[in-house]
Amino acid sequence: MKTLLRASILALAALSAGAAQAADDTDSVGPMPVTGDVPAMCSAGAVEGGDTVFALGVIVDTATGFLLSDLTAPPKTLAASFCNTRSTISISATPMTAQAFAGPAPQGFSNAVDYTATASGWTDPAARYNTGEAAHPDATQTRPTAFTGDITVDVSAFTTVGGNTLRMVADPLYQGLVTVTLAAVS
Amino acid sequence: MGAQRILAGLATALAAASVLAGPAAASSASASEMSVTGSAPQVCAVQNPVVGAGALVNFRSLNGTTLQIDRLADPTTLATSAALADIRFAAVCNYPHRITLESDNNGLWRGGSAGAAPPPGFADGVPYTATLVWGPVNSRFEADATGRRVRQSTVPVDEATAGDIEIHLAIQAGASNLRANAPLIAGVYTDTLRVTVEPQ
Repeated sequence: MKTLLRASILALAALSAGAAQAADDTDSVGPMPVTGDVPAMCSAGAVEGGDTVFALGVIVDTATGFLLSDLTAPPKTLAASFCNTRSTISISATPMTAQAFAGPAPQGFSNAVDYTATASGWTDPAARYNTGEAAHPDATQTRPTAFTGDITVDVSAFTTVGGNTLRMVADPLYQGLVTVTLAAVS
Repeated sequence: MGAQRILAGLATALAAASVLAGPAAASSASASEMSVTGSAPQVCAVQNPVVGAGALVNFRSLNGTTLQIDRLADPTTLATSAALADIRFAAVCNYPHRITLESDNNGLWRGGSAGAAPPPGFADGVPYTATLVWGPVNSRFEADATGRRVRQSTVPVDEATAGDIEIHLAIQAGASNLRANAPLIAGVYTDTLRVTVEPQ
């Protein structure tokens, strides 16, 4: 951009000199308004450490086949997130489903796990999404001011889809997806 | 006029630069995705047996894993007395598997005399049947006492199954390895029945 302006000034100077040679009168151009624009920007920062997986490990009691009741995973941090205007934070999630198992689960079994995903640090209350519920009134929260900081994302409260009387079908990979979205609000 | 033309060109260039810089440097919405993962390993588990809903007929109650027949021979004829028992094992297999019933002796055989023939006219083996119910499986296992040997029956179960393995044991009145209603030689008659669930 600087190069472009410099080139234009030189061009103007050359033209003025040319005009002076062609005629003795003077000429002017302008005024030239200079304007700028800062668009509304939001950035959900990168996951700290680069590890984007909540790895729960083995999720069943290997003696009974039931889902473990104390599943946990360390929270993730979206570092240096920012929005330069009023914003919303939204969180959504999909149940953990058996990736290799095909078809409906047999009687007495389930092939999916519900859980609650929470994004905190941006708003109070935090944005929260329970994959087992039909409505998600807490999934989107609004922050009235610009902000920069870390967002902590957590997963918790794992439950068997269909009820805790069901066991989980064997599968090497159960997987769900959590999405956190920051959006500018005009 | 020439100056105006150059300035107009410059303004166009600046506008173009601004349009290009906007979306590349900023976004009004930004999303971050994370996955949640776990695994459910293959599990097959069988609990200790309990007496089922059906009545025990001529069986004493279960003692640990031992089921004792109350009176194997009719005291007046010495022929086999009928006996029935329902046994259940709480079990789970969370993947396609197979279930095996295995009899050590292929029937109830008199202990302590393996290989020795009983006196003529006496029987020393008693056949029985074990009906197996497990999920979609309903099969009949016959320990027919035609010979003293290991006998087994394996049934594939093509889906995860949980609940009770039900075994209905039945000894028919008069059954023996010799002929119907043959008298049983005195002794302790035993067999060991194993239930195994394992990968296909």
